[in-house]
Amino acid sequence: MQVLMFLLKRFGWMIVTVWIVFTISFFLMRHIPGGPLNGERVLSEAVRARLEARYNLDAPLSEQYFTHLWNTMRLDFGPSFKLQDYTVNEVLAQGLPVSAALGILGMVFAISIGMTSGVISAVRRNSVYDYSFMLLATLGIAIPNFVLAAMLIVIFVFNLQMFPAAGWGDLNQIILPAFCLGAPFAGYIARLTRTGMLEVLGNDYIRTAYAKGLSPRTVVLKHGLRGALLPVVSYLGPAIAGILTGSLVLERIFVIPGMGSHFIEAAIQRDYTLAMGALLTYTVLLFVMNTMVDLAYSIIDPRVKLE
Amino acid sequence: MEFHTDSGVVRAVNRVSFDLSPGETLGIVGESGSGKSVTNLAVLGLIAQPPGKIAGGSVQYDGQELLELDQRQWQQIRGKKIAMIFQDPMTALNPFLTVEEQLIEVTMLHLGLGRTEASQHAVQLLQKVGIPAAEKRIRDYPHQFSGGMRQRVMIAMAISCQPDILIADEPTTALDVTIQAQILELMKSMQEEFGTAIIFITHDLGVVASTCDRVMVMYAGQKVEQATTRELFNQPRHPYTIGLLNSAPRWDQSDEQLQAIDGQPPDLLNLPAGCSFHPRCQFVQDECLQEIPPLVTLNGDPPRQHACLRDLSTCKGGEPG
Repeated sequence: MQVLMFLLKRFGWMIVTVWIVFTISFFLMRHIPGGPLNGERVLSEAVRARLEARYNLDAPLSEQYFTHLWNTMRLDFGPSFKLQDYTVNEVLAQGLPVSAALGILGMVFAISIGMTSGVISAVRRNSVYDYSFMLLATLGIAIPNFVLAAMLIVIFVFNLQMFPAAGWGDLNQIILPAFCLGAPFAGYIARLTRTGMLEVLGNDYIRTAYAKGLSPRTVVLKHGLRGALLPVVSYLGPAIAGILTGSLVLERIFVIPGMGSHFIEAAIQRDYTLAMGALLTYTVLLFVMNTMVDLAYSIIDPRVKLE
Repeated sequence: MEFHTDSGVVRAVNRVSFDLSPGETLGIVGESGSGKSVTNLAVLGLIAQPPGKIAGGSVQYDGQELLELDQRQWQQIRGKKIAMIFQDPMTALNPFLTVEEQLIEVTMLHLGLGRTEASQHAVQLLQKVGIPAAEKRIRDYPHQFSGGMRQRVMIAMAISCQPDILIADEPTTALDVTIQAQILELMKSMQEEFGTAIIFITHDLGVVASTCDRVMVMYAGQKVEQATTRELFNQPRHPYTIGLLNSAPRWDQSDEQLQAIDGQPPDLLNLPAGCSFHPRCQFVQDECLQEIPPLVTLNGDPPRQHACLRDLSTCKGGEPG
């Protein structure tokens, strides 16, 4: 019941947020010099007028705004300006699953590698493991993912010939980009887990757990890990945003037909409808992820009340 | 028992020895930093090493040398044979797990109970320690309990495997007075039922008087006096004990000013030469500054001990006799 109320409330806020994002980006985009019909080819007046009529660009701005808003509310983002014969919905339906798969796998890498090394570092504090993991973590955070991608391509594609260099469709092709995508987040999560775990292990209830005769493994994994998870979980919200934007560059490098390239191109080419569609999709995605993070937080820590 | 710190080696506990018979209650009294808790954490092998180091000594339980145990053997002792209740029930229970989970994991581990069995056992334990609607409350989290109720949960957890020894580290300090009395009562009744020996760590002499058979007084990591509770209260033989007794309120002398012990607790990194209590002692003599007083054992049943160069047997609180 409480959860349902929370979700309803969040949904309401999401609608408001999406509307605000819609409004701001709508007017921002129209204010940027140039438009979808400016290109290398200069269009004749007649052609231009017909095209503007087709895309509803000749209407007054306020009318355009409300038409677009109405269509968006019906989840119809309209035709793409640049990718002719495609509606924005079609472009999103094609690109989103690709980016999502890449993002999810990247996140899985980040969480599994990050948490494991973080826990080991905390438990074996000041050991060789600790130092090497934390060195790697710092490297992971410091090295931009396109540099990492280039290095990994040299090693795994050209030297070891384990993976194909680019493309999409095969499991082989997703591993390298997903790893590059997840690496900085893995580093961050490792550090967060280590700090969180060290703090938790200093708590009185950990001493209680040892006094009960539990094995060190049980103490760490059952009594320690939950508390150590909290900072990691709160970091997941921003991390997901980072993964979304981080994938733009990697999709280019590995020639992956995801959302990233559409998003950039759309903004550069003033493809109003596609840019808007991509932006709103990202907004909703982020909102949903943040809500899930809050939900997870309340599940992990029973003292947290959902509001 | 040493701690290796950045500023030097701290001898937190030195030449402290005590024994405990089944069903007995031993009080350990001393001010903060006197080594009460460290002594007992060492008994359970719960001192982190490093920085801690047990430089020498012996802990024997039932003829077994505990200091030589490996990790696995320790786990067989902790919670099963020797259990511990901690000072602050607010922080000693895991906030992320239900009370049920924290109770049943002990009995599942040590008594080999199945989940349902352990759960029923846990409900019985909670009823025994006086938690109303135990079948329902068991699924709650610690933060849904009051301080007194949490300490009851801690006690239930500690007695769940019917340990031979229960170490209670200031179990009532964080609770208000009426709850304190209830918790002490509860511990006494549990002791009677299970014949558990209790080590009661406290700085509250009132608690000692009402619960303990024997008392050990600690100062600066050393034992300064040990006697039966009656002897200690009637005829203290160490000036620190006398100071403690004078600084505690008494029901029969309500209008009298309480006498604090002058000076500060000692710096364990830099203990004074001779008797470590001499800078604060009202009976100090020249030899106290040079000579470390040996622990004198007086015949009796049980024998009592004190570590003072002077014979204070005839004085009572005020002037040396």
